Amino acid sequence: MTVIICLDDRGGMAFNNRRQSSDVRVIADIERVVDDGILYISDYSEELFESSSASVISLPDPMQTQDGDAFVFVERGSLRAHADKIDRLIIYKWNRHYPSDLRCDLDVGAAGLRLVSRREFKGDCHEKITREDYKR
Amino acid sequence: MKSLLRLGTSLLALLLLLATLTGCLPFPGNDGGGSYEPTPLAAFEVRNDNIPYFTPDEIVSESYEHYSPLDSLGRCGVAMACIGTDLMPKEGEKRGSISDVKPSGWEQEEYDPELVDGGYLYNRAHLIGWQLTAENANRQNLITGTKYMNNEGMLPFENMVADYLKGHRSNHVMYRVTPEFKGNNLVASGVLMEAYSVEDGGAGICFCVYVFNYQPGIVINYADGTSALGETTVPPDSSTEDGVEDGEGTITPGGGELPEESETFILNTSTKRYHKPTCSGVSTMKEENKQEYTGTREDLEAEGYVPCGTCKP
Repeated sequence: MTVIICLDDRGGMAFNNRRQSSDVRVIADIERVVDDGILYISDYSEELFESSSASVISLPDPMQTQDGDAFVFVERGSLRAHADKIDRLIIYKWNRHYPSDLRCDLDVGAAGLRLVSRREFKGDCHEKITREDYKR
Repeated sequence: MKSLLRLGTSLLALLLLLATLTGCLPFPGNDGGGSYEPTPLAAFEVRNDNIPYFTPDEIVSESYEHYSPLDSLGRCGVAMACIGTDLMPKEGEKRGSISDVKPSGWEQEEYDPELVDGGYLYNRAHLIGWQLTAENANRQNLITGTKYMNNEGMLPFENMVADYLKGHRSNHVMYRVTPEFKGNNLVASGVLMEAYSVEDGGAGICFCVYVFNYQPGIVINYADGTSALGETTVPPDSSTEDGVEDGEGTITPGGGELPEESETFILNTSTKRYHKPTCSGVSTMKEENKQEYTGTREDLEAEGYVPCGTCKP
């Protein structure tokens, strides 16, 4: 499966049960990545994809999907417990320091994932967003 | 969420009151199957379960800002605002000089930059950050704050609020910063920061934290602002009962080396063409369609991208 996450400069994902940030250009880019595939999200993420053109399925825990070709957008869950299922990891970096009490717990190297490409673009409300692609 | 957006301010205020009374906000916890990792939060601690102390009648949806008069010792008081994008710096606006302001306890000292980022111990720390209300040399909004408090404690929260408002341009955030001066001290021990996004009932922004005014490796005399090298109590002169202990953080993914055969191209995500960075077509490309890509050509073409016919990358 392909897992998609957003991180700040310290690897943070959330603070006080809330995402640190969001950007419509990240959502648009995720839609391009998913293309005609299926994106699995949690109910918490639904508001981000309300007007999305992508095929989106909301599950209580999207990492539990049995669809091996799935794209899974994770905002507040653990990745370490599912490391062996992740064939591709896409990280959107805000290039900002936000408060966090939930950080990404995945050791990318130990999970056998290697960086294959990096791209940068201007966000709607972020000066520079970096997208990194990791593959097994 | 949409129904929440339609709620009037009074009902939102009622929700907050209910949240305060019940000790929790009406939003779900973390996603099923996930787990939370305690992370180092030594720069601040959570207060009141991250629920701000705003009363219902304090929550409004029209922008304003208020700064307290200085007290008889020249110290700042509460700064409070309902922040909308109309109060934030305009596009391209530059920060004005604040160097003429000498907040209470301003006894600046220079230390080894290895110990204090930039060398100087103190910043003129905005209670309400410049990126939120564009206040420059407002003496009622500037306190003597350590570099560590400013950069590690307050700034991340200001960033979060500012970027939320930039992405939700018609929304507002109730925001209050209360400096705590013990006795007749001229330097604040810390600041209480509270914020609550109004139109979505706190779904976007909701926090209540106490940020410590200290600098690791430096002992501060809070009575007058003088300082010296020494072991700091972390956090200084404050209870850590409700805080999260400093500890081993989780692993941050990212970085790593790209494949040796990587090249850099400019992508047009709309036309799915890739260009040399020097291609004449790049300058006319719409910003929302432009990405700078570094990786292999093969991976790019596997995504369906084709080379520009003009620059022939």
